[in-house]
Amino acid sequence: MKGYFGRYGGQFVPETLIPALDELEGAYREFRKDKVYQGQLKTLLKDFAGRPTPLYYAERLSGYLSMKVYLKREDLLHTGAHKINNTLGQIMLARFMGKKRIIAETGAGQHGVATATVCALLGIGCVVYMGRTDVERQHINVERMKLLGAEVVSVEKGSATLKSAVNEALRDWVKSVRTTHYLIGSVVGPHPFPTIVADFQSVIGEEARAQILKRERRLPDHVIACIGGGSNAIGIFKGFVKDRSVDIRGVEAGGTSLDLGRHSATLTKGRPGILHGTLSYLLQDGSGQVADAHSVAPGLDYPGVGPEHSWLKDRRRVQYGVCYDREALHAFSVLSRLEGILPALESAHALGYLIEHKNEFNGKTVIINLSGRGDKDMDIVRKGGEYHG
Amino acid sequence: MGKLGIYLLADYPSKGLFIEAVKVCRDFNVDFLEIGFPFSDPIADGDVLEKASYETLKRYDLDDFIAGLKEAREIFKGRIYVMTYANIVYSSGVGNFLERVGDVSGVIIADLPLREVGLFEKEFRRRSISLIRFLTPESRVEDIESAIQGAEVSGFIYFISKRGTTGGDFSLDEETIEKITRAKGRGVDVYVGFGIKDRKDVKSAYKVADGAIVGTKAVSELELGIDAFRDFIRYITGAE
Ligand SMILES: Cc1ncc(COP(=O)(O)O)c(C=O)c1O
Repeated sequence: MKGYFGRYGGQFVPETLIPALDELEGAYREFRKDKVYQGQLKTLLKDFAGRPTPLYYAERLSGYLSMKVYLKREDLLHTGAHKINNTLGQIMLARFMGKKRIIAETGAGQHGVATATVCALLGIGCVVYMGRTDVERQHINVERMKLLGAEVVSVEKGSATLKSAVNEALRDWVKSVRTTHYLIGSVVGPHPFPTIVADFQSVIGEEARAQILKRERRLPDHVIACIGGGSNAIGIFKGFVKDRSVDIRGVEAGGTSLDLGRHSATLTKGRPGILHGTLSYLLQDGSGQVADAHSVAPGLDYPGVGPEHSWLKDRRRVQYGVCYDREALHAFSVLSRLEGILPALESAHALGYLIEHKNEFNGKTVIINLSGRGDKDMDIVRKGGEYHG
Repeated sequence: MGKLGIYLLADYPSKGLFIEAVKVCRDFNVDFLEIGFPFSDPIADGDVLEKASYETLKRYDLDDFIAGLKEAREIFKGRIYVMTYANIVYSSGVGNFLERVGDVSGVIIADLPLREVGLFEKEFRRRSISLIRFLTPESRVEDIESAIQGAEVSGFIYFISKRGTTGGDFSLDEETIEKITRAKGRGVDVYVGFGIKDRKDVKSAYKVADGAIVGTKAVSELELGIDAFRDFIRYITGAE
């Protein structure tokens, strides 16, 4: 079936958007074959974003946990997270399609900053939708976006977080579909977005696989990444999913507890449903109203998840677990003290899971996708995560 | 003359006013009703219906909407369509949802495009309930053909007048009129909706299509009270 991962995925959007999605799919197919554009993208990823990123052996952390921990350093990329892999790819695709305007949603502000950055780079106008709650708790990123020339629209409606920002971006797109590209920030939304974003992020896994083979002369035992929409995770998983010996874990935000409304553990606690154009696991009440999500990490605060993850879960190729707010905050300080690296609170969920389950990984070789850096989270950490207390 | 459909959001502004509004629609011989079941993330709706949805969801749930629909069914003898979003139908299980809503002519699912009807259609066919197809100013020839082919299970084609959400202004550009004309007269009625708010709009919809649907404007009038709503329905049903 077109645009499906098993039973998940699809294009559940208003009819008005269907021709635009077809145009996007067709253009993307051509874009992939276009040597000039592919060459330019490769150069930008290297010279502008800073790829390849190192695979860093975290020696003190490894000693502390009695295992071998490698960190895939996406935090070292320009703008501070893996998001730039996708925004560079999609902005070149938008230029290829001749689109004159970019819209995007953002939660943590990381995707918004990465989008505003590439729009500045190519001189394309940019509007970023952001829930009011996130505007307040990630105000530094709001300032960054404005400095980069983006218009930031604070969304007051609904839950006023990432979910509302996506709603608003979709409403804009229905109106502006002829001139505008919706630069979506994760492997969510209607087909072909989950596939396109996964392709742009798969560079993480490709590099990590080659790097670990070079360094260890063998594959890792485990690969672990945090899951918001699931783009950094799909990116690194793609490198290892065909290697049956590699155990793969996705870590969702357990928030303050696993009661509905207090967490973002979609794959762990949700059931299949339809939101923002895709059929996938979803946090919802008994009659199909979408629940509010919560996490100390703004970038994980989303009640849906990419459809490919739902499929990987049902096939049991990837195991999905949770890390609670307090475990992520603890991991944040552990990595800061032991390695001199402030991780993004999102990435700290992957680490927190590792620390919490360290007995299971005893003596093993593990790669953690360190999807971003934590400077943006100073306010939240200083307040002990009280935004969601 | 064209058919006129009025959209009401279930249990909004209150259960009582909603039922009063249904009675007014009966009294003025409105041709059909669309009853909206609110969804938490109504991406096809503009500000008015979005806000109304959130307010309704704070007080009521699906059981209430279904009870409201049943009551409306007792009062209004014409066609009634339920309008909602894919997850509300999917989450209950399509067959179960249709059992629960009972005697309706069809269901309009705002985020279900032509190509995704497959997941839903079987249960609709089995019960002879229409699953409404959409066309839009963006539709291509093949979309129009596909909507017409679905006519067997589609009571009418819902032609969305514009690129945008519910509410706002109404206008049909040349290209859109051409598309409506292509879809019309092929064995299934074509009704135009989104942004229609006065007699002039209804008339221009009737000129090219088989009917018109008034949503946001009707809901806004009802917000002002039942008298304002009655005046509006009297006025709008007078359009020829
Ligand atoms: C550093 C970082 N990691 C992870 C995420 C979560 O997104 P995804 O699951 O798509 O990688 C975000 C989102 O803002 C982020 O900023």
